[in-house]
Amino acid sequence: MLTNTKIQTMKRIFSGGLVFAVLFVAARPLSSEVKPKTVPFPVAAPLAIPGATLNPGDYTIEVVNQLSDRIVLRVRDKSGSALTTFLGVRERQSGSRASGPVAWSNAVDGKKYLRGWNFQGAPSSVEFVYPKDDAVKIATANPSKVPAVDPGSEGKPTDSTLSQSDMELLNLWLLHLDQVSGGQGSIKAEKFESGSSPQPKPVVASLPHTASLMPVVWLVGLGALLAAAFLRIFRVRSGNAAPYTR
Amino acid sequence: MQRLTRVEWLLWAVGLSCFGYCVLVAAWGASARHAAAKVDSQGSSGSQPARADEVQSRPKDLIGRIDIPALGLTAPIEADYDPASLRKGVGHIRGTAMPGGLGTVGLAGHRDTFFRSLRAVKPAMEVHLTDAKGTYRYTIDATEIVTPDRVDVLNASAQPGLTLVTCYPFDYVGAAPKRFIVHARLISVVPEHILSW
Repeated sequence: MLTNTKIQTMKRIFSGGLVFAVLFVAARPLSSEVKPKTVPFPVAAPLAIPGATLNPGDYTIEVVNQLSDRIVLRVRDKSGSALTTFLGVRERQSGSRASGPVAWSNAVDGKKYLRGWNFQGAPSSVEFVYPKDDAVKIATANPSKVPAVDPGSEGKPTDSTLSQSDMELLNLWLLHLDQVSGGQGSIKAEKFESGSSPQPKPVVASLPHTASLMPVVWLVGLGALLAAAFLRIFRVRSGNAAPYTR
Repeated sequence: MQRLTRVEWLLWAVGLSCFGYCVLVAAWGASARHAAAKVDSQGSSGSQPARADEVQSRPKDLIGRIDIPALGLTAPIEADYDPASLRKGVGHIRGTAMPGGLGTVGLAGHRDTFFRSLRAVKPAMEVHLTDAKGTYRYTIDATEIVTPDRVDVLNASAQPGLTLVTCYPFDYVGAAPKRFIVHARLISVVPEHILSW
């Protein structure tokens, strides 16, 4: 037989366990995110990142916003001025790596491109998303899939005026070089699909109305000409055709 | 009898006016096709870039040309799909990808002029979009008939693609209730060195 004291103790233990379990489950998604932070880093040689080329100097990189399928990042110079704001995606393979920048192994036109960033304590690194033209160059030089966006093709600004809300809705793509034996190969694109990608915003309210007045005009014209000809014949036959000359 | 004479003159006038309008629209179309024929990729087949005077002579709203060789369809691509643009060619649907861009290119055209021959379109036919940079080759995957609210047909699919939109039924007189949709996907870019997507 259980005494009241024992029952009370068991209830407390059970309640405490329940609270702990809830907190543990709630904390799990947070641990998979990149914690917002600002990280200083030096650049010794020119380094290309999405939207800017960094000359030798001191910079900081920060996580501005984290969305379900993308991360908004910003790089500032030594004075604190924002140089570029761009998108990143969580790298598809995770593992423990040294924190800091990760560069693409092959340079493009002699320029080194930064592939992403390993934020300390984050389980997966962030892979930078490049504008289409840069991504094509990187994918041509490196045998890997390169995350890309094409704001211009979606009617969005291609310069630094692209707003954060636009960034949140841009389609993400992966570009890679499709090697054909004996040929140079060509760049192929596939949509970056994440289970939690935002729903696309309709580009138009309804599909364009593409019927011209031509059939109506043609029918009215034909009808009018036939009727006029009929009248003319009727009047000639009835002997009352009005001469066209006065 | 004088009244009949007046009616007859009126009918002749209406008939000839309508005939003149049709001729005018056909002339616009021919002129636009002529302008579109000048749109050639700068780098295709190793040719020289278009001369400055050639570029200047092109209408500024003309962004390229669409060809479906199997149907003998050739039409200019205008920058917009307002009524004036659709008289001169097929219109690019704002917000969809530009030719060569990542995403789905949306083009709308009149079923009774430039897109008239789409009624005979079949899967596996090729569609070529040409702009100043190059020629983008698409292959037709499917067609469907939808209601005008099905704007999702313009959404970006898994690969860069092309969606052609025209009214349906093709022989309907007046505002047609449905839309005929052609879905195609990008298969190659010529010349490859432009690598613009």
